[in-house]
Amino acid sequence: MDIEGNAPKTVVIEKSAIQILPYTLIVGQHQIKLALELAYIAPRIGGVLLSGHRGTGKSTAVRAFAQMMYGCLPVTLPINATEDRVVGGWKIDELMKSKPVPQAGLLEDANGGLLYIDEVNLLDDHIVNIILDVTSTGVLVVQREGQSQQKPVSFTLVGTMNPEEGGLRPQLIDRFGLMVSVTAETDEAKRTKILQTVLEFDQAVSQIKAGESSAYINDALEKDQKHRELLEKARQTFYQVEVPVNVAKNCVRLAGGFQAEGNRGDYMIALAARAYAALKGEKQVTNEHVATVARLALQHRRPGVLQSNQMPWRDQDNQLVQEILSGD
Amino acid sequence: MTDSASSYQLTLTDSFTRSLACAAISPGLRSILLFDTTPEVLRLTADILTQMVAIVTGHPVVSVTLGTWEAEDDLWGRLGLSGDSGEQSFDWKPGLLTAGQNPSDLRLVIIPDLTKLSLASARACVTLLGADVAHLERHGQQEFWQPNLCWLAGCASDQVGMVSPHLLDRFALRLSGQVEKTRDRVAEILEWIDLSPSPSTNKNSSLLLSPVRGEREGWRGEPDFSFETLRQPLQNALHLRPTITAEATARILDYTSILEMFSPRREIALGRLALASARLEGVAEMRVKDVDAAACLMGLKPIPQQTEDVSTESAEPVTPPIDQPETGEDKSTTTSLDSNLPEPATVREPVYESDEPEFLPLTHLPFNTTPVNPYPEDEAPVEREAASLQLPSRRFRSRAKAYGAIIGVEKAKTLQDLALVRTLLEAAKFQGIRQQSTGNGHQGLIVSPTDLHSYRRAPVAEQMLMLLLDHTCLRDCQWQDELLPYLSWAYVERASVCLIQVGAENARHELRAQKIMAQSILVPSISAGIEAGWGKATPLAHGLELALQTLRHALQHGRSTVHQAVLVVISDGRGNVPLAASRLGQITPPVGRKGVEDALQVAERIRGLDNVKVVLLNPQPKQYQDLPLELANVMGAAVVSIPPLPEMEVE
Repeated sequence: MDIEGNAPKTVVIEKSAIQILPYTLIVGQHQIKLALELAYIAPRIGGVLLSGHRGTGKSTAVRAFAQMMYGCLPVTLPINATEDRVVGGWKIDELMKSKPVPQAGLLEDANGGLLYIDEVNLLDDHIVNIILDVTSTGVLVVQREGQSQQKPVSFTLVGTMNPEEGGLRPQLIDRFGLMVSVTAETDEAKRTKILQTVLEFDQAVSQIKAGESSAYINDALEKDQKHRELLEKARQTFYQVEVPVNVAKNCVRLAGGFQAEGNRGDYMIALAARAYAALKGEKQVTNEHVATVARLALQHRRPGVLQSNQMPWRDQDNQLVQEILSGD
Repeated sequence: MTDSASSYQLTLTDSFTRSLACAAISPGLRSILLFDTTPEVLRLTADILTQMVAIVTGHPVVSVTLGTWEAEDDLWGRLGLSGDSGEQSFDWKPGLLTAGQNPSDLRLVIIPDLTKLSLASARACVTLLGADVAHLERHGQQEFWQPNLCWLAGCASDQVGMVSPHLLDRFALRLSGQVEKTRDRVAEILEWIDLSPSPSTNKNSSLLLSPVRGEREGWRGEPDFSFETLRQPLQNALHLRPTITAEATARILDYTSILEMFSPRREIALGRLALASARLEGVAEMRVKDVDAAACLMGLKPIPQQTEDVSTESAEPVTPPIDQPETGEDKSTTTSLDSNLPEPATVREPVYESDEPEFLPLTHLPFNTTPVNPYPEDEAPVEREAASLQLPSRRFRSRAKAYGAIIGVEKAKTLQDLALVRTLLEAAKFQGIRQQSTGNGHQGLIVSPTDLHSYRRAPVAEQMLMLLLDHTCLRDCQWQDELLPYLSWAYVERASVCLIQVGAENARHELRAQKIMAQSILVPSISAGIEAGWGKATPLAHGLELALQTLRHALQHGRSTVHQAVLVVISDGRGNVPLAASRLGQITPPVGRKGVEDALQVAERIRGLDNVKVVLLNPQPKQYQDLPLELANVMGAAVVSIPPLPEMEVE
C-alpha cells in the first residue's frame, strides 16, 4: 500500500481451500474490526496490535479480514520462522544444482499488504530486531549468505497476543499505530450468537468437505464482498476528508492530556479519525470521530504501560477524552 | 473382532468410549486432555481413538509422541541427508507436526505428560492446537496448510499449575483417565500369576498391560477391542446434521461461568460435544437433554445462579444413557455394569452353568471418566515461570552453557558447542557454487565461517538461593526488608531457588519442614511460600537437614550446574522438635533442649560445605537472645540483624 492509497497488490499466498469464518459472520468484537478496517483505509497507521483474552477470535478476525480484502490468507510470520525466511535467502533446490536463485523473505512478500504475526509476544528477539529495523527505516537490508541488497518495503503489521504469556518490548509496541485490548464477549445474546455461528460454520465446512455447496457460506461471502467495496471506497476517499484545525488541535491536546509516550500519539489519533470519517462517508473529521478512535491510538502509549504491559482503559478515561474534546 | 471370549466390546453407553467417539466425528473436539492418567491408560486411549478416527476418515492414523526433548527442527522439519546416491545429496525431512497437508495424512499426537513438554513443543502446540491454518517458514521451506492433527495429552490435575493456561485452554475435551478399582486386588494378582505368557505378536498387546488388562474380567486370549458395534454409528453420524434448538444453545451457557477465567472456547467445546453426541444418537435435533448429557461426559455442572430451570430439565431422562462414575447425579438414568454397584439378587442365581465357563465381554471401560473439575487450572496455584512460553533469555557466565537441554540451533557466535550436523548441512547447500568458484579441483567439503551453527540451549541456573524461613519467629520483626536484597540477587543472577519452610501454618506435617524448589525467584509458589503464616511447632533441625541434603545434591551430584549457593536463614534458633521426632512424624515428651541441640549439630555440618555462603538474619528475639548467634557461629554464618517492628502505642 502506498501513500497515495493505491489498491494493494495481490499478496503472495494464493487463495486456499482452507475455510476461514467469513469476516461478516464474526459476532461482536467491534474494536478489533474497527482497528483492522482503519489500518486498511489509512495504511500509514502502520500496524494493529490485538492483545487479549484466550479464545476471543483474534486470529480468526485477522485471517477473515485478509480473506475478505485480499482474497487470500495474510502473509504470516510464524514463531517458528528462521532468519532466512524472514529476510530472504536462496532457493535450496536450485542452490543444490549450483544455481543461485534468490528467494524473497516474508518481509518482502508482505510489501504493500499485511504482515501477520500470531503470538507476537512469543517471537524470538532476534526476529523482532529485524522487524524493528525494517519498520523504522522502511528499508530491508540483506547482508547475509553472499547477498547484499537493499529494498524499500512497507506493510501493515498486525500482531495478536495473549498478555498472560508476557509482553512486548516498548520499541515494538510503538510500531503498532493502533492497539485493541480484546476481552471476551460476556453479553448473553452475543455469547449465544457466537455459539450458533461456530456450530453452523462447523456444519457448513463439513458440507463443503463432502463436496456440497453451503448457502450459509455463500450468503456470508456476498456480505463480505459488499463490505469490501465499502472499505475500498473509504480508502479512495480518505484524502478527500478534511481535518479541521480545531480537530487537529484536539488530537494534540488528547495526546498531551494522556501523556502519550513518543511523538506519534497525536498523529495516530488524527490519522485514525480521518479514516473513521472516510468509513462513515463523511467529508470532514469531527470530535465524535476523534473520540471513537482515541482509545485505539492512546491506550498503549500511556506512561507506565510500556513497562507493565497492562493496558487499562477505564470509564474515567472516556470521560477525560470527552472533557478534553469539549475544551473543559 | 467377533470372538467374544477374547475381544472387548466397546459400546457408546460407556461414557469414555462415547467421549472418544464424539471426538472422532467432530474435528473441533480432537484435542483431549486426560487428567490423572497412567501411561498404560493413555496408550490404550490412543489406540481406541486411532481406530475410531480411522473408521471415520477411512484413512490410517499415524501416532507420534512428544516428550521432553524435541527441538524445533524435530517438530517442523529439517534438511537431512537423502540417502540416495542421486545428484541431490540431501533433501527436506518433514517434522513430527508438519503432517496433515492432505486429508489422508492424519496424525495423533500423544503427549504423555503435559507438564514436562519441551519448550519447543509447547510453543508448537500453541500455534497448532485448534488452529485454522498452520504456517511453516524455516530453512528455505514455505508451506501453509490446515492442520490435520488429533491431540491426546495426559496431565496430573494437581500439577496443572505448571502448564501455561494459554496452552491448556486449547484442549477442548477434558476427561479423567483414572482407573476404577472394581475388583478384588488379591484375586487379580492370583489370576495374573497363573496367566501363561501369550505368544501373541499383536501390536496392541503392549498397550493392554495391567491395570487395564486386569480389569477385564475373564480375559484369556488375544487382547483386542471390538469396534463392530461402533462402526455403524460412527459412519452414520458423519452424514447427520441435526438442527440445534434455541433452548439447547441457551442451556450451554448455563454451564459456563463468565468470571475472570471465562474462555469462549469452553462453551464452544460443550456445544460441539452435545452436537456430536446427538449425531451419534442419530437424532434430527439437538436438544437440552443432549447438552446435559454432554456436560455429564465432561463433569460440568450448571453454574448455580444460572440454573433456575435445572430441576425441570434434570427431571427429563437424559438420553443417551451413559455410564457415569459415582458423581451422585442422574444415577437413575445410567445403565452401568460397574461391579461396584450391588447386583440384583436374581442375577446371582445360576440357572445354568456350563462345564467351561464362558466369559462374556464387559461393556464398560474401567475408567472413572468424568473429571471432578474439567478446568482445574482455574483454581490451581501457579507453579510455572512468568511468560513460560517465551524463549528463555540467554545469560551464561561459564561452562554451564553447554549443560542446558538443546532447544534448537542458531548461528554460532563463538566456536563453543557447535552443532556439527547442522553446520555441515548448511555448508552442503553451497558446495556446488563454492566448488565452482575455487576451481582448483578441491574435492572435500568447503566450510565457511558463515555456516557455523551452535546449539541453542535452555538456561540452567549457575547460582542457587536457599531460604530457610522459620515462620514462627517472624511476627515481631521487619524481615521482608532485610530479605529483599537476597531476592533481588536471585533475580539478577537468574538463580534457582529453594525455600525451606519451618513451622509454616499450612505445613503438610507440623513436625516436619517442607521444601519448595523453583527454577527462578519469579515462580509464584516461592512468593506464596514466603508469605505463609506461622504454625505451632518449629522443626528447625529438620529444616536444616533438608537444607544440607539439598545443598549437597545441588553442588556435588552428577552434572550439577550450580557453582555457588547462598543460604539465608531467618531463625531465632529455638527449634522445639527433635530431628528424630520429625523423621518419625511423632513426638515423645519430654523434648527439653533436644530440638535446639539437633539443629546446632546439623548446622555444623553445613559449615563444612564448599561454595556455600551462609547468612543468618537475626530476628533479635527478646528471650534467648544468644541462640541465633550461637546458630550462626556454628554454621559459620554472617549475621545481619533485623530491626524489630516499631512499637504501637495503645491508648
